[in-house]
Amino acid sequence: MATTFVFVLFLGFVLGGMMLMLAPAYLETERERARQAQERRAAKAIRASEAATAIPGFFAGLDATRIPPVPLAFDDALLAQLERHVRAEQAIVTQFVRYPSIDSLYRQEGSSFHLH
Amino acid sequence: MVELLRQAELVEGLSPGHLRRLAAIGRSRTLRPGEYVFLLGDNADHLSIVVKGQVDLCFPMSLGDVVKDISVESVLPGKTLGWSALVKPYRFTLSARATEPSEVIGFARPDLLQLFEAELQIGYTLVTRISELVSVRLSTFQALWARELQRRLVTGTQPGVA
Repeated sequence: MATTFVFVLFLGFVLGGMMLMLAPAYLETERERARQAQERRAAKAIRASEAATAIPGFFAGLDATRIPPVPLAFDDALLAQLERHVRAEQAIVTQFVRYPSIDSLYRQEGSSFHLH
Repeated sequence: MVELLRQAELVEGLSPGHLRRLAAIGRSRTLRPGEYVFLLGDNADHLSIVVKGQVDLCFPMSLGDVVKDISVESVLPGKTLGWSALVKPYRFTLSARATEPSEVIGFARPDLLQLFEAELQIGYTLVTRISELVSVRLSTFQALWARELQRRLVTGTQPGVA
């Protein structure tokens, strides 16, 4: 009876000890798996973004340095547009020249020139 | 030539005698459409009065490799051209180009200065008129520049506008 009791105790200690030894190893393995999974996800995201930027976009980006300017023809139409703008602005400032004031300087909106 | 000069704003107030003395040193020049009276940067040695046609004052603008003159002011008969001939550094700050068959009367600076010394009233009148022209030019371009700057400032501070 006593022998059996001792044997059971001994067995319990052995099994408990084994569990205690295996548990850290198990936790370490799980941590390692999680770390590798995270690295795989990060690598996948980088590859995806690289692939996206390599593909020409349908819509023009806001980075002007990546988009070459569209060359404009300095033709008679553009010249006439420029001259109309200048003359219109001069007509507006004529009032300022005669009667200088902040109001006469900025009162009328005028036409803003835009290249098309 | 005296009759042609009589309509000029530059000589408003001059007596007939003074007009004759001024006309004596004037040289008439005819211009074809597109012909330049002077170019921006040229040595300004002639003061001119437009007596017929139209001369446009221009400045160059470039886009790419193309340079074109932009007309900024039309000088009609009776108006003065090339006041830089009497204002240092005696360099034209704009170009002047005839837009139709035109005629101008030019006065060389040495002849004008000599006349001014002999007839102070002529010098006083012309220089007074020129100072008015310079004032108008300065005020005009100052206002144009201020308006453009204001426009850029407003455009730059509007949300969603680059």
